[in-house]
Amino acid sequence: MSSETGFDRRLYDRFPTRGARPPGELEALKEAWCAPRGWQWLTVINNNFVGVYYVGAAMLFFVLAGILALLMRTQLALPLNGFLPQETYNQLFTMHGTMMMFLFAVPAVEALGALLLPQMLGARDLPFPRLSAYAFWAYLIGGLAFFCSLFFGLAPNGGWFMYPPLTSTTWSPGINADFWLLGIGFIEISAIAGAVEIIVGVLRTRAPGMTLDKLPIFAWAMLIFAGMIIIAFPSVILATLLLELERAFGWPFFDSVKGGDPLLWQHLFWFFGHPEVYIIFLPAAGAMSTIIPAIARAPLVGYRLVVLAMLATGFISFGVWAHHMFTVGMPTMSVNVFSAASMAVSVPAGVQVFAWIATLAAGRMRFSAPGLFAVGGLVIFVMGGLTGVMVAMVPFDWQAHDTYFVVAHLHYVLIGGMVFPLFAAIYYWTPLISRRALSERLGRWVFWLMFAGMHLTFLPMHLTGLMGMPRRVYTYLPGRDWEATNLLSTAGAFLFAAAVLLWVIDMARNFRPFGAGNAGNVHDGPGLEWLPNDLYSVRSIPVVRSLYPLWDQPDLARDVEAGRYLLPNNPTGGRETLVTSVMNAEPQYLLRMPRPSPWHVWAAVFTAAFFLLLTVQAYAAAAVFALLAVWTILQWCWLLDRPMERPEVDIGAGIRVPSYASGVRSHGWWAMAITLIVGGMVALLAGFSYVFLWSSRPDLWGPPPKDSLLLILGLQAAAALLAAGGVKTLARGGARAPAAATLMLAAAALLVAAAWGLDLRGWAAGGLQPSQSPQGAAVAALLSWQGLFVLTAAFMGLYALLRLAWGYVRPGQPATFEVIGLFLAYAAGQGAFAAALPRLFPGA
Amino acid sequence: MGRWAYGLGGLFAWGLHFVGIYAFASLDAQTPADDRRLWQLAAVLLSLACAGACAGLAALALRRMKARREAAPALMDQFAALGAAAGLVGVAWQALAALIV
Repeated sequence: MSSETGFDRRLYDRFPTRGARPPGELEALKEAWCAPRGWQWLTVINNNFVGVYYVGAAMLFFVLAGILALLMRTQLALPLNGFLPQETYNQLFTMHGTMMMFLFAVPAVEALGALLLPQMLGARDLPFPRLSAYAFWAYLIGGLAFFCSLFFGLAPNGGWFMYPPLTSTTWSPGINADFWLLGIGFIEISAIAGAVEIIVGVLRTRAPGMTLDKLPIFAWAMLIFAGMIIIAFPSVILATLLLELERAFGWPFFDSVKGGDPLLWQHLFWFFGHPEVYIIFLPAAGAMSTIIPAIARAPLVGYRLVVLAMLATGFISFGVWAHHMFTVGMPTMSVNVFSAASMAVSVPAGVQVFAWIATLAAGRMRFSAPGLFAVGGLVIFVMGGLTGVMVAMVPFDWQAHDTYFVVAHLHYVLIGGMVFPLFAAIYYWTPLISRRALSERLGRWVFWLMFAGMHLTFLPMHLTGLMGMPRRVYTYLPGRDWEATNLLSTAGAFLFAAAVLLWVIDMARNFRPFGAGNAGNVHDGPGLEWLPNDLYSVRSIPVVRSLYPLWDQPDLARDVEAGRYLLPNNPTGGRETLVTSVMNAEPQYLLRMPRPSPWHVWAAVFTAAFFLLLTVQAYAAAAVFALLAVWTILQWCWLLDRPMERPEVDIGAGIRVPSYASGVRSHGWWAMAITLIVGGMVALLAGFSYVFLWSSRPDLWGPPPKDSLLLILGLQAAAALLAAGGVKTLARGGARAPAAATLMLAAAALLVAAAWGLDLRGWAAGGLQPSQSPQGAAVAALLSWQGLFVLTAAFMGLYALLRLAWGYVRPGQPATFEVIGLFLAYAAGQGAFAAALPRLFPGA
Repeated sequence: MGRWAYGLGGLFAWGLHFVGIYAFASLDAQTPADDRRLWQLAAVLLSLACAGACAGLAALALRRMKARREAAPALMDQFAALGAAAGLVGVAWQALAALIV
């Protein structure tokens, strides 16, 4: 295997080192990674704390959404039951679905990643701990505000998919729908922030030697999960933005009376919504592929095939969205293709299921609580998968669509594919973060009650659906043979709730996080997370030589704890971790990590306030909080890219690496590039929306403005060149380089803004009104999105000038400018796209 | 990026094929009904191109694995070979769905 970075891998042979470590280095590590005190519990950023908060919050929302389900099941237990009024029932089923999908399922697996990945990868923490903490606070505040809308009768009531025209102002005139649109948009920001952290973390902070074929399967799953979030979530962000614009300003994207098309919402929503199922499933599958080998004491059968199957699932899941739309009258060829893809996606899922069964057969299964949950989840998921293939067949789907059969199917898939694996993960990994493991006895009770309750609830629901009971009805007439199955489902729901209650009791009795020490490797797990650890993660970062290091390197735990591997100290005196290369995990540089500060918490509070005030249409107050949020984020960024006192440091055994990196090598550049993919996806999908709306009503399309497209494209090209030039100027160095580079970046920002202004003026001069036609609305949406980037570019230009004024712009320190340059170049490209598409298509 | 593109090439070919077929189906719905054969022909040509790309990639990956003569093949070679094989089957499956109208 050739080296990826020029690093000599024979240097790994120096580890484990011999001899005693110098006195005081362990104390220095403990000091740098000390536990919080007082208010610091809120500003803490270590994954050991934020990860636990995050999982805890997700489970809180699981319980709350579960209570809503119990209320619904109580209402449906008997025909013509008067337990809940119709409007309340509508709010409850909307909130139940929304909370389970957006506030529980995705955050729970993201939280699990934030909690476990650093230890699993042998890192001290993920590369952007403040971003993780910001994501958590944004999610918690936004989620609680969203949930509390129930108590004021303001909760959304249009279903978790919020289809227009039901959610248009005509049929949903209050602010209930706005709560959903702005709340979910805000919470998605948190999910994307977490995804950026996970991608960069998995690819760049692995222990040396952990090549991709030795990457823990859970980390692979989290990597694919995060990649899917980056591609899928922009779609729901755009959809919510468009519907909110329609509701607030009357821009007709979905209003067919004014030429919009409600099917556009369905395309955008399900382009996110179906991959979402796999986004939820893959990390849970990664947890299963980790837990099953440990409880069977056998390596996972077909590790590489399982990874490939997860990758294939990621790809194919983006080709199945329209199977939710088989009944809307799509062209037959489209229906056939989506049906084929929906059947095909079961193949990679099947590969994983067979790998788990083969692993269980190859080893000696222990029916501990995590083992039971893993096997139970497998059984339930297979049952859900089989009904999934049934509804992938178009004629069957036409019959089962919008009936309780689909409700049963989706719950089998999500509970088997996510909830049971999550409980397996909780029982498996709790000893890692708690001084006491959870009770095995109670765990078995929880499993059997949950397993029985699940089947009792959802198995009869298949029949209820086949007998014709539609979804989302608050009651039903007697005499349709739906009484018995509904009553059974309600009984099952309470049995499930009893299991959850028992689990809460188990947690209250035994879960003891944040203290010194933990319960240890009670399941004989083979991954790095089971190395002895503290708040600084591992004492020294090991050289990984196997997929199952603790099984194959018997002295590893002892040597790691004795500081005989990499980074046994903190050479710069602060918090640090090692950044390694993408493919082979070769050491590249030392990443100096931030210490806790309150800025990210304030940023989350102000961002939440901004969205909440937008919901209640207090626009002036919202603008103030937006500015406050920007100010706190600038404060947060101000502390980054600090001067380094020692350009190179020894990370152990005489191996020296730089303590600073910029450009493609740096983690910050990667984070910006991934964030820009999100922006690019939104722009691309806005372009799709433009073409879709044209295809729906081409007769409403007018000619584009006659101004010069070439001038706009020329300005954007000049902006991109200036941005690249500014970065290069700073990298070349020289006394005048900082000022020249800053001015070039500021000029680039100005040119992007000027091109956008010209674009806007051209359409305005042509008389195009966003509220008058779908063309106006679609063009205005493209321009608005670009406007957001122009605004951000302006802030970045200002930020660059401030850094110059404070003397923070130095030739040897170009990381910040490279990130700004990348953003400006992208903004120029996006501006060119937004100008060119509506002028060139469909033509004059 | 090159190594990722190589390893995941078969899946990318499948994705490209999917987008293409979806686009042809949408264009078919936008244009007069009597030109369906034209769009189906376009679907066939795209399918052949994508299937050819998958087959070529699989052959390249197998040759590389053979040339390395290592006990365990390189991860990306294996991904490329298996992914291309899966992509080939996926393309054929999808092409049939587009043609049976």
